[in-house]
Amino acid sequence: MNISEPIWKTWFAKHGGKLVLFARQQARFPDDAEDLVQEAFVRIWRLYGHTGEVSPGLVYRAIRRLAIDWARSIDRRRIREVKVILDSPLTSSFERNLEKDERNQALLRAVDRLPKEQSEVLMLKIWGDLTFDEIARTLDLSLNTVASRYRYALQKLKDSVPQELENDPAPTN
Amino acid sequence: MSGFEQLEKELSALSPRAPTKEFTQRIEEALGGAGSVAMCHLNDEPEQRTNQPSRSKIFTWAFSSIGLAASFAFLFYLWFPSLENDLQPQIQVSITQPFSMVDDESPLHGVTSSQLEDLSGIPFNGWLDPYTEEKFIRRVDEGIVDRVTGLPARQYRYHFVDETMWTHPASETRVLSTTPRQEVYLIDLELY
Repeated sequence: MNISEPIWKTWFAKHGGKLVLFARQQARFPDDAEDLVQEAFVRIWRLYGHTGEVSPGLVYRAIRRLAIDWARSIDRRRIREVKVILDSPLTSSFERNLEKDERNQALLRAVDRLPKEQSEVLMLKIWGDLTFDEIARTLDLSLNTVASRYRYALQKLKDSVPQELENDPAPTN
Repeated sequence: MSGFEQLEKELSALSPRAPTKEFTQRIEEALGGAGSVAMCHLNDEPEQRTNQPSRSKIFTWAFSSIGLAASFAFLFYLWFPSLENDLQPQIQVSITQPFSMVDDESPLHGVTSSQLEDLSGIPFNGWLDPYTEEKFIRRVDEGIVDRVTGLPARQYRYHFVDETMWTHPASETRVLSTTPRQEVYLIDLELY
């Protein structure tokens, strides 16, 4: 860690990518993801930044609440106009690993096909490093619901990845 | 989650892209001074709100009563030091009395209220109901703290002085007792 670097930058370098990934799931439009993260992070950091130990769970929760608020206020006409760009693959949000690229792309395509309720739990557990309890609080769900959705998500991935590999489309990016 | 370990490992090995420099720059501009200003770090387990009027009133009255009794005793010894020796035999006499004969109202053990009244010159009866007043001193903003639930709250500490005045019109005597008191308020904050 660079001593002269503000604490928030170190924190953001570690969690920023995961936050954007989660915001992308929560936002009505992919373009809103970074705006959501910015708004949520700045608000939480202004509250907690002095501690230097901001819990990522708080920012995830703020992102979700903001996304809900923004979705309510969005103009219906804009929804129709921007609907075209909704097909932005999840693979574009991850680092490429050429060695296992084919398998990874298939995995991410399978994650992309999960119902939103399952993929958001999976995202928070796998890449957000949150506990089931923290996920339950972030998504306002019961612990059992969260655990069930996570299990269903993994089961679906396990079943669908071989099929995704068979239907391997032309590589993106 | 048995049977999913390999899948979980594969997924965990995938890294979301780090935020771009442009995005980090945007965050820096939006944060402004909050990105570099360091505030004092409060304890993780904040003091719970201590505003309990009924209990504090009881304590106020209890301490005030003790204060009044102590005042009687102090005045008694201050004003009649020469009687100290004379009092000893009387105290011994009173100790030998049956318990039922001891005056429960007296603030001094072994000295009846009438004896105390005679020796101190301060009347025991005839006091008006005490007058109490809560004086607000100041409010201190102690910053953001974490509740046990993990949610943020802003902590304010209020400083008061509770004053109790006893008045005895017949002898034109007044006794004032002051008790410092604090109340802590936690105001819940929205996460955004």
